[in-house]
Amino acid sequence: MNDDVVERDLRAFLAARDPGPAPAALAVRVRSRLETDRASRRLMATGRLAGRTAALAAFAAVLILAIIVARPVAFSPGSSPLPAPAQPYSIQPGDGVVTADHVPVAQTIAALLAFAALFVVVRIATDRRVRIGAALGIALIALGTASIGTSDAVGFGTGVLSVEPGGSGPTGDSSGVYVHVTGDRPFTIIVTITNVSRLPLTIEGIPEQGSQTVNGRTQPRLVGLGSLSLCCTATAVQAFRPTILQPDGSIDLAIGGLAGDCAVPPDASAAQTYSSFEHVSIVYEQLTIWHTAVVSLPSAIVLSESGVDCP
Amino acid sequence: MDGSNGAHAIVLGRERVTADPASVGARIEAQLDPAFRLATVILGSAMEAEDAVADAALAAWRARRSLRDGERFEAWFGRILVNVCRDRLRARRRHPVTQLPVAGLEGERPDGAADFRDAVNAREAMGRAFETLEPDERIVLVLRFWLDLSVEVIADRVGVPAGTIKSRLHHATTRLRTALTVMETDR
Repeated sequence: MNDDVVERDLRAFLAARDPGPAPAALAVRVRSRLETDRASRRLMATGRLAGRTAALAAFAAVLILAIIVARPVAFSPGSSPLPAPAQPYSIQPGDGVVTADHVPVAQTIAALLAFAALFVVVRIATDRRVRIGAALGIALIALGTASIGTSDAVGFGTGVLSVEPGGSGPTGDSSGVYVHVTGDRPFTIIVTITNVSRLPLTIEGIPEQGSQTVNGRTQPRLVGLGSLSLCCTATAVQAFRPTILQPDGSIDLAIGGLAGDCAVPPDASAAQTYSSFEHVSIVYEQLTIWHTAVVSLPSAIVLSESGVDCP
Repeated sequence: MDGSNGAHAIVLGRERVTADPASVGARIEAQLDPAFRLATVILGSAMEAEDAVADAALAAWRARRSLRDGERFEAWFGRILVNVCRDRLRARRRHPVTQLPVAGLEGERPDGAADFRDAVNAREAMGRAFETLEPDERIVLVLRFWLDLSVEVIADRVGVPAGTIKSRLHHATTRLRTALTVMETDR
């Protein structure tokens, strides 16, 4: 048997194996497989997208958590009492004064990321429970975002409001909240601050208040903040440290002030001989966001002029 | 396929193949007839050939983004099909199946056959001898003696150097001749 015969028989054998055109069912089968594969890959792509979105949301959540954990440790008045002062402490200008701006950039970015990720999950998730969970997450983020810019979480509920050194009013009534100091001397307001919100917060201090002068005379101002180890006297004042307030929790604060010259009122043209504080500003942190609350006092703190060296 | 055998060639033009699913799907469908015929000749089973073509179509579909030159779509798809057939032949060796007798003899008589019985005997012997070959040897024989592809085109289709193809062809025909001679002697 030579090569030519083998080749001839092989060609005949192979030609006999040729089945002719493909059956019509093959095209249908191939089309179906491609379509199925396309659908399954689309589903897998959707799953991958959902996974990445969930990872993004988790990252944002971790970021928020990290911000919460990384913040300075605050003292909680309910957990342990302040130690009694070893010696009397006088509030110094700058004590408990918050000078830095706390713009919630990271929180805003994290919230936007989490919001976008959860929104995508709500749109593409096929599992109803996942969609409900994502929707709840969006609601929580919206709640947190809504708290940005609000500053009514602290106020004066019940407690004390006093001032030292106290004085008597113009009519001789000593029950009012009057300050009677000569010149730019210190005074201390003791006031109870209450967390009136539903979430814990941290009292961080008071905002910086630069001195202002009117006609060359310095106005009264609040310059420092202290804590109280005992209610409710300036002798129990201690250096301030950030303090956590639970919902409905209260804390007694000592706000140090300087009386200025001659109790110059804000409006110098007014023919009044006294100045007053009707509210105090408190800086607090809640949900990692810093706010400044203006707390209205139940009675105005009135500073009357001494008459010495004042026109 | 792109060989000189006009019956198997399909002209698809020179449009650029993109990853567009509709375009790729249409080009795969246009290859089904020649692919089915080639797979059947290699595998010897129309049913298995259908599976192989479906597998190759799916593999090509998934790998469509790897095709850079649209003009080589037929060669690209042909290589995928040949690989699928090779895998099936190798799997068949691991899981042997009983082959049915060679079909399609009623209407044909190979040139040189003295009579119909001789032709039947010759094809059955060739079929048995063909089954003794390695998968790669069967593939090069089919590409060379059924599609009439040149050695260079086969090398491109299979993805090995032309020298390797020549070597495989030589060994395959030698083994085929030896097997046929042994069968003839035994008869």
